Amino acid sequence: MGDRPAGARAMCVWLGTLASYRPGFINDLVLRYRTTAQVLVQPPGDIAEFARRRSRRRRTEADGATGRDASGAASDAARFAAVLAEGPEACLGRAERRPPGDLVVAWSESLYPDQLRDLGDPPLCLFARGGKDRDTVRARVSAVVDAPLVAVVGTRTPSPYGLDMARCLADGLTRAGVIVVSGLALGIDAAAQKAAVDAEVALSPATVAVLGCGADVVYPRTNAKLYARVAGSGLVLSEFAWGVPARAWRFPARNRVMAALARAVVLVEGAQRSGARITAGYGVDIGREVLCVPGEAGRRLSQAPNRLLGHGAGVCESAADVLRAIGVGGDRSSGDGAGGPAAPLPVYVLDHGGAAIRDVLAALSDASFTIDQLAVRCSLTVAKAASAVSDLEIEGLARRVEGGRYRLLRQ
Amino acid sequence: MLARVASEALSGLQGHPVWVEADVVAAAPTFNVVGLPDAAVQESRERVRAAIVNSGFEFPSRRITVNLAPADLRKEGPSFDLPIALAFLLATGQMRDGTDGRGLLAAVGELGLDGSLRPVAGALAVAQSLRARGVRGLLLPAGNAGEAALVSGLEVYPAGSLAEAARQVETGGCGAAPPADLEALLCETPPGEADFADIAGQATVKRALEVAVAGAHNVLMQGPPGAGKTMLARRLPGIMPPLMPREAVEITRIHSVAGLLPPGVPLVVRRPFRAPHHSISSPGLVGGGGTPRPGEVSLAHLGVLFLDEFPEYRLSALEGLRQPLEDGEVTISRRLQSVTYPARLMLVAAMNPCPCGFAGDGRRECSCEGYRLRQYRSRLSGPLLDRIDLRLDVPRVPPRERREAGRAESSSAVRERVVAARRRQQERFAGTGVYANAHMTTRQLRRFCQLDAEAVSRLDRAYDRLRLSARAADRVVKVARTIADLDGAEHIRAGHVAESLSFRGLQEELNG
Repeated sequence: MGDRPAGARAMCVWLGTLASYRPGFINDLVLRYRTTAQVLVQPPGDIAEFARRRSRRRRTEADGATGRDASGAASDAARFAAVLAEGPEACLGRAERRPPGDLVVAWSESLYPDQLRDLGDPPLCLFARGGKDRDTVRARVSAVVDAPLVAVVGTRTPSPYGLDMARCLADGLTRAGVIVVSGLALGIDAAAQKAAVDAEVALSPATVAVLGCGADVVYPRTNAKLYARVAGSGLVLSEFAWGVPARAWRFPARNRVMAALARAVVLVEGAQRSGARITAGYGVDIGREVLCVPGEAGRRLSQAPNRLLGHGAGVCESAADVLRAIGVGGDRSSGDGAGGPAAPLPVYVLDHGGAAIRDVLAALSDASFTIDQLAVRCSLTVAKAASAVSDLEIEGLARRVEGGRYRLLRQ
Repeated sequence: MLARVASEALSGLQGHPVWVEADVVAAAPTFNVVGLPDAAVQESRERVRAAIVNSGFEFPSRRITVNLAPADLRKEGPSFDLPIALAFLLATGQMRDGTDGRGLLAAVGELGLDGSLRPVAGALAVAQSLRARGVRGLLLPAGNAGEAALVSGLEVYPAGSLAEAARQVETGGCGAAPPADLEALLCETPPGEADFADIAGQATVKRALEVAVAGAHNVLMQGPPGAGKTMLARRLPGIMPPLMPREAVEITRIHSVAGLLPPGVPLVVRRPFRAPHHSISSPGLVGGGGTPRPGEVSLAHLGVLFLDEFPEYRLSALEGLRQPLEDGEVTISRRLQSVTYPARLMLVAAMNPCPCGFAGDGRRECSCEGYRLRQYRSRLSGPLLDRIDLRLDVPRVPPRERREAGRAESSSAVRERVVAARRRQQERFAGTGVYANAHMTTRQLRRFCQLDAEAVSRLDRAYDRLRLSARAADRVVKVARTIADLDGAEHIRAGHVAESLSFRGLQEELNG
């Protein structure tokens, strides 16, 4: 390993790869050498020496860890030492020997998304995957800098309402030309990104996923199909090197990248201590718009959004609210957020069901109900009420949620 | 001296003639039974010996050989005790055969050590098989006389003990039991205690169950614990059409073979409701065992099979349901025999919305991890769910709504509509072998389910907007046909299609 500084790109990729295995590594370096630019011009030998001194101190701390944590920490430490010994050039070479749809973007390059520099500790490199060839993935990464991005985040165990809102927001945003960013986790993340990919508008990338593991690692496995679709028509980003497995500490780190990429963070559902809340917190710290979908009072998953609303976050009831907050296409369809359904009823439905459907529609705009309850409220037979809700469902105006209730869908 | 007595062996519901031959010679005293007997038949030697002595007959010290012919058919159970004892008495000359020239008399029955006769399983199936072969009469334990008397054209001679049985043989049969009056037995049936009127609220679910019974559709109910799924299911036999005499005999035959007919009950007069626990084995559910016995699907023949906690059943048991649901019967093949039992049942499955039971409940939050939920639901395979036409949400009804709901319709009122709808179906399907909408083939679906123009456009729109699969769309049409039948309508209208769509329920989540 030489004493002279390596190329900036190689340094970025080497240090970025090292940071994939040790939380806070870049922070330590920046504290030691004062600025990121300074870090990059240090001889690799000095940095290796610094890292070894730090690791002696850290080892005593890690002794307390047990079970999976301990084995994960041990393998991370081994990988860290190997990369450290390998040096910048070899590490860069390894990171670049990839299929054509994979790309490494360094902090020092113009392709690097500028908005990430708002972070105190921006990732030194980004590993990206999207499309089939190098040009496509390059174009998509550069689109991330120019196009408006909005992060839609929330719990992994959403309620039907949360799922609906996530879908509805992602669909609306995508159709308005806004790229949805999320973490490809279960629940809200997956629902939002699926809706964005499903919208099938000519947006490239269709959606951006920021992962807490290597950009080529599918986690959780249940999202494999969705991962493939996002990697196909969207963009998968990670600050962690290829093949790095998911571990608990990497998710909050990923959240800060997600918040920094986006112009606004929308929190759909989440407990007070949750990853989604952390993302929103990062958004506040670096001056992003933070909006929350109001939740039902008293539920655990309403804690994070409702408290943030109390602290001044924007209310988000539809995609239009988000568009207004980030100043995109705010002139149209404003003000119908909480009103009735946007689309008018097709004539033939009203002809057929007539008063029954109108009554059911009016009842559903108050709250969600089961068919039993609708039949009582609208004085219909259950058969008639069932027909009416099915007609509304066919027209995309209502939706059955768990517990046999029907809910009005807001566009 | 040689003697022989006719008897009957059962393989499933099928009877096979068996000759019981006894040979007594002066040699070293032994008592052997040959002709593929199982353990219970081997043991009958001890019962027969004691019964003969205790009935006042003699058991001479000779070489006694009993043969059960044909020798290649497996003989099982204790029902050969009586014919063995009778053949022995004839062979030793302690009794004379009085049936000469008046046709054959067959005998079945288990002996007690004191010579008393105990009822055996499957007497009805034995009687039917004998009648079909033209046998004149059946000599059997008094406890079985009621069910055997259901078979017209066969003389039934009940006996309480070996001595009485011997007297029957000597006289060639006297004091035949009077043939049973099926209609009268069925008419005496008191109405069931469980009535739909007991359940306040749940109007939607009750309506759906009415549709299900009217078209013989299988049902899956999903709802939190305590929502009333079991209560609703228990009331289903009460809204099914009244039992026809032929159906009652069919049910009785299966229950008799399974040995489940209670003493003193000659005929099953109510549609069965079977609710096996989810720990049941696959042979227990679909039938099986070394000697294939009817499983719960056959015991529920012409009635309801209720499977609570549906996804908790063993996978092998659940997959075993597919054949009976498709064919209305179940064939169990074993090394020595293959047995077919009827299994035309209505499957009513119930499940919680998630393993903890509270997803979508509103009052409590679901605590299930996402993967647990998928695991829970993925236990139900696509082919199995395809055979379930209606999927219902059964929400918990708050006490206030229950009070407001007032008194609900009684089961008998619902039953009248069901009977009318079934009659329409029978007229429509006359000569096709199908008796209810649920059993229509795809071709019959195209032929019998005429949709009016508006219904077609509604269905097409639903197909696009709700992303129905082709199979799901067929199910919607089938159920719509039943709704139209309840409505007394010739063609399926848009309203019928729309209501049917509301019963497709959870199919998105349940990979249907």
